[in-house]
Amino acid sequence: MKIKAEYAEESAQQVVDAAETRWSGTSLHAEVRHHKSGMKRPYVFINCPKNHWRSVAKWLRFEMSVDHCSMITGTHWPEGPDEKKWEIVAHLMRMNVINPPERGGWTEQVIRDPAILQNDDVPMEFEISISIPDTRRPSVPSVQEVWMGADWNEKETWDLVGIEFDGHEGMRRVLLPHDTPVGYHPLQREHKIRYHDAEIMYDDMQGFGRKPADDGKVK
Amino acid sequence: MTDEEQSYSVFNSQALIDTVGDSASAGLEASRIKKFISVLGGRFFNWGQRKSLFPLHLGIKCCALEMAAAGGSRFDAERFGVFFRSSPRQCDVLIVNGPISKKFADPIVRLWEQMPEPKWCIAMGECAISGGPYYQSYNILEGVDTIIPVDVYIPGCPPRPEALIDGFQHLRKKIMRIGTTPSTTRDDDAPIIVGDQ
Repeated sequence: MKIKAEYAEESAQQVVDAAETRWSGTSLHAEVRHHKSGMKRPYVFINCPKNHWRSVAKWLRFEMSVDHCSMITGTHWPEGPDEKKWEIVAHLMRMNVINPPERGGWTEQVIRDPAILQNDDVPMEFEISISIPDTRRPSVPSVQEVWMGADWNEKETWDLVGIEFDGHEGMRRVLLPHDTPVGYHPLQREHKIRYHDAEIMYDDMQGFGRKPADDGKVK
Repeated sequence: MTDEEQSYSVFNSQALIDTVGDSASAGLEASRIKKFISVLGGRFFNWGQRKSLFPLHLGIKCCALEMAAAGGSRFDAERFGVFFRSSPRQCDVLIVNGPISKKFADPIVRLWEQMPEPKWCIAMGECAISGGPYYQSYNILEGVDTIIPVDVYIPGCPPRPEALIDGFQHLRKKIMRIGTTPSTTRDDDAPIIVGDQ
């Protein structure tokens, strides 16, 4: 009762071929990769240029039925190659969730044998990587309207890494305190944590208006 | 009409109650019964407080699972009178079990202030004691004792449920010692760290 490995491979290859033909002139690159452990299942890896991200996302959502956005994060690579100083990685899944039908007040069970799933029915994972060259203000189009899960993931990425998302409504801090100043993005490599000794810093935890005299020691 | 009201008012007045109370109190003091009753009553209430510590159902991170395990059947905190309550208004001990981020500092101080006196705080796990593995990082406070007064520290990452139960025992001994001193004026010379005694 498992998904047949060759059907999974076939399905991944179909997605890769469709992506390559659709965006054949651009620098979009798609390939089938395999997990390194376990069943070594195939997954689709797409290296997407920034300006095509929204159309790739909409194609995946509406034509390849990729309905779940698990994660969107970003990384800062200050010592990386010139075209990949910042990177956005999106992990998506095609789960083919079916709402079971209701007949006469009862919800019918939907039981499907996973061994017969083929083509677009096979659950598949997708990894999209967007490389951004070195800029002061790295930005990527937002896919907030395409997937529900992209919303807070993009907020967290901006909060911690500092990559902007164009077209994202209501961008705000989610993990750091809400009033943290805009340049403070802790997961950038050049960000140095500054700290004071505890008795200077935490005297004012509740905000009575006293500020420490200096800028603090760099960690 | 006013005459009738005045003639009965002497039995309803506060002045009558005060007079009777004062004379009864003087009588009890003279026979030293009052002191006896107050000491006995104080000891009885202290016994009740320390034998029925109600912590708050606050779980922050991994130590919360050890706290839940301590409430389960193998370690059974409830046989010690420890019964978890969901509202801070009904609790007397706040167990802080996890790192406090800067964003959570405000709500946890609010929870602490909502708890009525007498109240105590237990810092469980390294993150609550000093920031733990997140010491000097960008979003975690260096210990919950920077914002609320802590009575017992339980080291461990996470501490075993037996360590938490031992922490409650240390807290009970402390309550026997200090009674119901308000939490704002408690100044301990040595912090109580489970495992040190």
